[in-house]
Order: sequence, then structure tokens, then C-alpha cells
Amino acid sequence: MTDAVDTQKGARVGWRAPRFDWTMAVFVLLAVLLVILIVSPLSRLVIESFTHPETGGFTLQNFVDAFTRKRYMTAYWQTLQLAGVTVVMSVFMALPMAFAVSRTDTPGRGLMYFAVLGAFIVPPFLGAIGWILLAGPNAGWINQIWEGLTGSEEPLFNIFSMWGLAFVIALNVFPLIFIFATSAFDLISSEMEEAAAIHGAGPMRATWLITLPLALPAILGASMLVFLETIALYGTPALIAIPARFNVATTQLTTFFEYPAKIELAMAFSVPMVLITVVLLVAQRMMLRGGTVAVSGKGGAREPMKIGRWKWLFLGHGIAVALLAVVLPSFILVTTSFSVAWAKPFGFDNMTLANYREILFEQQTVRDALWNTYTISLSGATICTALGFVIAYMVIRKLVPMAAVIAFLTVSPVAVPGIVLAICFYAAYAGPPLSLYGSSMLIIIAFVTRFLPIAFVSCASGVRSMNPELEEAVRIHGGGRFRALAEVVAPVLKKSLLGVWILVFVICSRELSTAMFLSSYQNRVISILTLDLSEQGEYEMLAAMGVVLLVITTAVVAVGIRFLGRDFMLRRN
Amino acid sequence: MKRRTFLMASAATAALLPVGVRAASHMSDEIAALFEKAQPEGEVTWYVVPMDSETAERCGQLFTSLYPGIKVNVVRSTATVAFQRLNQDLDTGVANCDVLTTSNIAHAEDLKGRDLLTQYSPIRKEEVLPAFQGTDPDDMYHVTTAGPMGIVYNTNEVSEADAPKNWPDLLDPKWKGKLAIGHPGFSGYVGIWAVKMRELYGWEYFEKLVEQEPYVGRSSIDVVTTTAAGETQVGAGPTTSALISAEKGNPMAMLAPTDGLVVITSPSCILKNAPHPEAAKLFMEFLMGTEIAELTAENFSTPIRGDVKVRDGVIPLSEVKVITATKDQIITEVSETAEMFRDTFGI
Repeated sequence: MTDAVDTQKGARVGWRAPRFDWTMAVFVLLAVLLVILIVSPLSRLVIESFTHPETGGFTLQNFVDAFTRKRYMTAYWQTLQLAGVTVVMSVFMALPMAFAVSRTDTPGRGLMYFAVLGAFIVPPFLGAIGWILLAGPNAGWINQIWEGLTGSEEPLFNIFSMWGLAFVIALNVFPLIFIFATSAFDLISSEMEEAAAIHGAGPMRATWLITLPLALPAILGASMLVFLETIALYGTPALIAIPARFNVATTQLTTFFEYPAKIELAMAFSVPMVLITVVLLVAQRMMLRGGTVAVSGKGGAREPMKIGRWKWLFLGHGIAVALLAVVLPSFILVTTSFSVAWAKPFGFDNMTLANYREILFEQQTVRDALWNTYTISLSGATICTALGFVIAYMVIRKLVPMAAVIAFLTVSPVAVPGIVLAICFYAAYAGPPLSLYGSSMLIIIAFVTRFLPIAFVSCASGVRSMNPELEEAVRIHGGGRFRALAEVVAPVLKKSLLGVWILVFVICSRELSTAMFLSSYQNRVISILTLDLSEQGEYEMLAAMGVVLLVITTAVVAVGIRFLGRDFMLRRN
Repeated sequence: MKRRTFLMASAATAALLPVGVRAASHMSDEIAALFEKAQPEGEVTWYVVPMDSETAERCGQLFTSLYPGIKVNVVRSTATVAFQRLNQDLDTGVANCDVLTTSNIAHAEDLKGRDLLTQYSPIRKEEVLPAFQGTDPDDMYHVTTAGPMGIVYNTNEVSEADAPKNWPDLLDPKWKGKLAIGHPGFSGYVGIWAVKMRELYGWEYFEKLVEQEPYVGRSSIDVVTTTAAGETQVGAGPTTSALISAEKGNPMAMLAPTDGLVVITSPSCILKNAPHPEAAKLFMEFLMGTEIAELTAENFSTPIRGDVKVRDGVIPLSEVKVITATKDQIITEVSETAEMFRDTFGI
């Protein structure tokens, strides 16, 4: 008791007295957190993959087992093909839109922007379900209409194929390329194009010779991210690749978890996925750094290029992508959610509210999963943003020793695909001594680790943009670091922090692969439940769940746009 | 669903009555004693395979209305996924599951072999039909559902006359690209079906089947939903799901193949580390009781009791050729067959 009184006394006079330097304590705390969140789980990848399943000793046998089975190797080969096709398709979708929005006088640019945002919000597994309903070879709406028009038995478009899968994934990931490409285009000054024009080049020629090459590093960098997203995706392949009878790395990886679970084999099988990721990320960084002077600054005037009739082509392309990525899948999900049987024609006898009654009032499981999804996303986003902000601040202001090491550790989970991260967390924390399996905590910390790089990088750019003089002023007046942080830095950056929070919230609410293997029934989230229910092909109820999920997520994003302006979700970092 | 309304109403009435009166009418003294011990546990977690999630949820609600105060956590998935989850629970030392109902007897036998099950001799075990009694002499698990796999077809696309009549008919080239099957690596039903097809027609059956470019669902139930949607026209699927689908107004019908309807019996077992052991026992009684048999029979399943009326349209097993896998066959051949399937079908 006397202690407490003493401290209070100390506090009263203390604002003038020298303070205890908390730096070391914070450093130790950060170090412990990073070990728990990152070092310990990720080191499992290396340890387990070299561990003999029975003896526990060192072995290379897991790698031999993982890479001598023909079926496993085929899975990798098909994954690489799939990712390649997806990259090409998403560049084709994103690049013309990015160019039109950033550089030209094409009408409807705002609309295109919302299309990209919409595509980003739709969770991959919902997009996949939407497209199964649209383009199933026989019952899909597009193919039914096609058959009605032409009488042809052959489907116009078969979703259950490698091309179909790549197409569905591309519709979901093209926003990445759009974001990178627009921010590169935005930095290119019009003077260059004008110079080309003076020398007699038309707008398209100038674009081809000047603008595109200047933006190329950013586009290639983004393409690599798309490649990585694709190889790590599980939900969409489970829905489309299994019925179509081809195996990819992630669907193969899950079979190692069948009883008896071969964690060591799964780890060994994942190692190349991580290596590919590391190589591509390094390449991406080098490309984006390889400074082309023309895109390094913000100077230079930018005028929207007058492209004459071409603008209608760009508009058409934008509308097409918006239809394919957002309008058609959402439309089919909404109509399906209100229908008795999805393949039957729309009409009053096929309309029902039963699917909504079922998920909202009848099935406890669905309500639990919705509740879990949002508590996990709320906690995940809050922890992630707070931690990302504190680490970014400490590292950038060099308040802690080994700032570079801490920064590196913080971003390192980026190199680990979500599904592999899930296996790492499973190996590290699911079992004794912590036995976190089945608790929401396990999924929350896995999500925090997975999205910490995003939060950190976004917060870091915010902190960098702040002049340290503001904080120095606080200190000169006797305030401590934490006072500066809480009363000056955080309020100044509150908009960008809220932006980070919403971004992480949205991606948490739709994340599937990181929750794989960590979910038991108590902590099931909507994405996992969707996967479970999709086994039975009950698309009407799944669609209703998807609509509920989309409504909530869209509301959160709408609030973000209201307070932060429409750009906040799609900023490049 | 008048029955459900009735149940809801009776549940609501029951909730208003004092506790002592509640445990009356539908319970024998022994069950009432079990209920008394189970009620303080408040809930029971049921990992369930051989029914669709909607029916499983209804069963859970029925249990709660019969035994107020005990909530049922229903976790429905395919057999392999359920067993994987259960093993993850066991490996991590987290006790979740009280009762497992799986369509793959090998899983129950495996748990028994690892000494992970509780021995329980249900009060009602002799009330079920003799064919379903005594599957495990040690009382570690008991058959609680029986489900037939037959040929299902879309009636908009296929007339009764044109529908495949036996399993090899599925290999007719006219079904190429229009055929759906499940995946034995996921589904217990399909695993046993595949074992029987292999026994009857050799592995060539599957080598020819893959030439048909079938749609491969994970659950056997997906075969019915996909065929009802018109995505495929014929398939090998559970007849119960086909009848449920037809009742909803989908163009769906099923038939018993002349070479044999494959009947899959699913056992239920209580886990040794069950967090709600008494509720688990009561739930086991419930699974073998009249009320759930009535509910699932209402949903076109084949009851394991003789005192429940079967819905019109359900094929009486006594009138058609039935093939079943022996326990040994399931234990030794299902996972091997699934692995062969993966190699042949590439997935």
C-alpha cells in the first residue's frame, strides 16, 4: 500500500524530474512478442521438415518422400502453370483499367475505381461460388443462356478447368496489379509523353514507348505478388480444382493432414513454396528499387491524356471487368440466396426467405461462426494495428536496439503462405504445453502474425511522414516518449491508423487458409464453415451466408470511406 | 415441416413446466435417471458424418427439446475431415468431441484400438433391428444409422427408362461429362462404395470411370445437389439426400441398381476424454431411440428401428438386392482404395 502512495507522490512531482527510461523494457517486450508471434512458429518449418516422424532425429527422408511421388510433383507443376496463367489474366484485367484511370480522360473512372474496390472486398471463396453458379458447364447461367441461344451442347465456358480456376482467381487478385500500376502511372510526369508527342508519336505510341516501360517495374512487382497469392490459395482450388480432377500444391498439402497426420511431410512439402516466395519477393524489391529516375518524385504536371475514340474501348473494358468481377457474382449470389433451387429459373415459385431463416435463426452453427468471425477480426485488427504502430514508431525513431533486425522480423511472415503459416502455428501452439487448439486465441495470433507486415509497413510510412520535431517539442516541455506517442503521434496519424485497422479487419474477416488446421468447432469462422458446407454443394444457404458477410464487410468499408476518403483501401503500401 | 412446429411447441411448453414434471412422459425411469445426471453438464458435442448439416441440426434441436437444458453442438463434415479434426483434438490434448457418428467403421475401430473410446452398453441397444445390433462385441461403438447409396438422376434430363440400371451402366459413353461421383478420400460413403465396386468389377471400373470425366464432389451429398442442379445428369449418391432434394421440388429421382444398393451402416461412439460423459451417454440413447428415428425417417432415411414408419418412396431394403461391406473389408480396404483413387483420378 505504501508503495502505491509513493508512486503517486512521485508522479505528482515527477513531470519535471528525469524519468525512468522505458526503452529497454519495451525492447524486451517487443522481442518476446516477436519470438512468440514469428520466430517460434516459423522456425518450426525448418525444424519439423528435417525431423524424423518417429525417432525425432535429423533426417532428409521427408524431402525424399515429398519429392519423389509423382502425384505430389504434378501438384507443384500444376500450381506453377495455374499461377502463370492467373498472372497473365490479371494483368490483362488490371492494366488497361489502371492506365485509363490514371492517365486518360476515359469517362467513368470513378466507377472503375469502385469496381476494383468491390473485387477486393469479395472473399475469394465467394467469388468462386458465384462463378460455379454462373459458369458450371451444364447448369451455370451463362452456359444455359448460351445453349438457349445457339442450341450448342458444348459449354461456352467451363469453370471446372485450369483456365476457369485461373480466371476466377484473377478476378479476385487483379486489384493488386491495379494498385501498383496506378501508383506508378500517377508518378510519371506528362512532360515525357509531351516530348514524345512533339517528336510525332501519337498517344498510343507514346504510351507504348514511354509510359508503359516506366511503369514496368511496378507492374512486374505486382505480378509477382499475384503469383504468390495464387500458389498459396486454398479455398478456390478446393471448390473448383477437386471437381475438375486436378491437384494443386495446397489441395495436396491438406491431404497430409488426414489421419495419421504427417506434419513433417507437410512441412517438407511446403519448403519450396516458401523458397519460391522469398526469391520472388527479393526480385520484386530489386525491381521496385532499381530507380528509374522518372518515377521517383512527385514533381511534374500530369494532364489526363486525350485519347479520342480509344476511350470508349477503355470504358468498355472497365465495364466488362466490373461485370465479371463484381456485378455478376454478387447478382447471382443475391438471387441464389433467395431461391429454393439455384439452377431453376427465377420466379415467384422459386423465391424464398428460408435460406436466411435457416442461417440466422435455425442453425446455431452459422450464428456461432458469424460471431467468431467478427470477434476474431475485431481483435486481430486491433492488436495488429497497435503492434504494427508501436513497432514502426520504435524502429523508425531508432528507439530500440537492433531496429533493423526487428523490422526484418516483423515483415518476414510475408514470405510464408497462409496455409503454411497455419501448419507452423499448429505445430507450435496447438498442442501441449499451451494446447491452444480450438481457442479463438490461436486464430487471432495467427492472423496477427500474418497481417503484421501489412500493418507495420502502412504505419511506418505514416510515421516517416511525421516530422520528429513535434515529438521533440513534447519532450522539451517535459513529456515522456509515451506521452508524445499517445497525445501527439497517434492523434496526428489517427486517420491512417483507422485505415490500417479497417484494411486488416476486412482481410481477417475473409481469411481462409491461415484458419485451416487451426479451426475446431468452437472457433470456426465463416470462411471455414463455408468450406465445410460447400462439401455438400448447398449453394443456396452458402449464398445467404455470403450475402450477410458481404453486407457487414461493405458497411465497415463504407464507414471507412466516409471518414477517410475513398482512397484509403487501395493505397499502395 | 409440421413435425418441427410440433416439437418447437412442445419444447416451449416443456420449458414452462417445473423440472420434476419435465422428465416425465417420453422417458423411461432409466433414461430419466441418465437425464438427471446429464443435465448439469449442459451440452454435448456431436461430430457427425452420415447426414446433411440441416438434418443434423434438426436432430440436435430435437435432443434439446426432449432433454431441456442440454445444448447440442453439431459439427458436420465428411468422414475423413471429421476424423482428421478428432485426431487433431487428440494430438493437441484438447477434449472437444463427446460423440462421434462416422460413416467409416474403420475410424471407430481405430479409436477403439488406441483405447480412446468409452465402453457403453445402451439401454436401448436391443430395441434396434437385429441386423444393426452387436457390431462391436465390446460395446465400444454401436450402429446408429444406415444409409443406402444408389443411382441418382436428374428427371429433366433423363427419363426413367433411360436412367442407368446398374453400376456398370454409369460407364456408358453417353454419360461422359454428365456424371457425378464423390471422393473416397473425403467421404466415408464413397469409400465403402468404391471398395464394393472394386470387389465386383475390379479396378478397371475406376479406370473406365475416369475416362467419363466425372465431376468429383467431396461429399457424396454433393453428387445429389450437383445432379439436381442439372450440372450433371446421373451419379452415385445417397438415396436419402435424393429424396429430400426431390421433396424440395428439384428434378431428382433415384433407383436401386440391379446389381445391388450399397448400404452403409454408421457407428456412433463415446470418446474416452469426452468433456460431457453423461450427456454423451444420454445422446447415445437418443441416437438409438424412437424420436430421432421418426425425425430422420420423416427426412427419408432408413430407420434402424422396426417401430418407425418409413416415408413413401424410400426403398425397403427387404425388396431389393443389397450389398454391404464387412467390417474387416472396411478396416483394411477403404484407405487403400482411396489412395488408388487419388492416383487414378489425379486428385
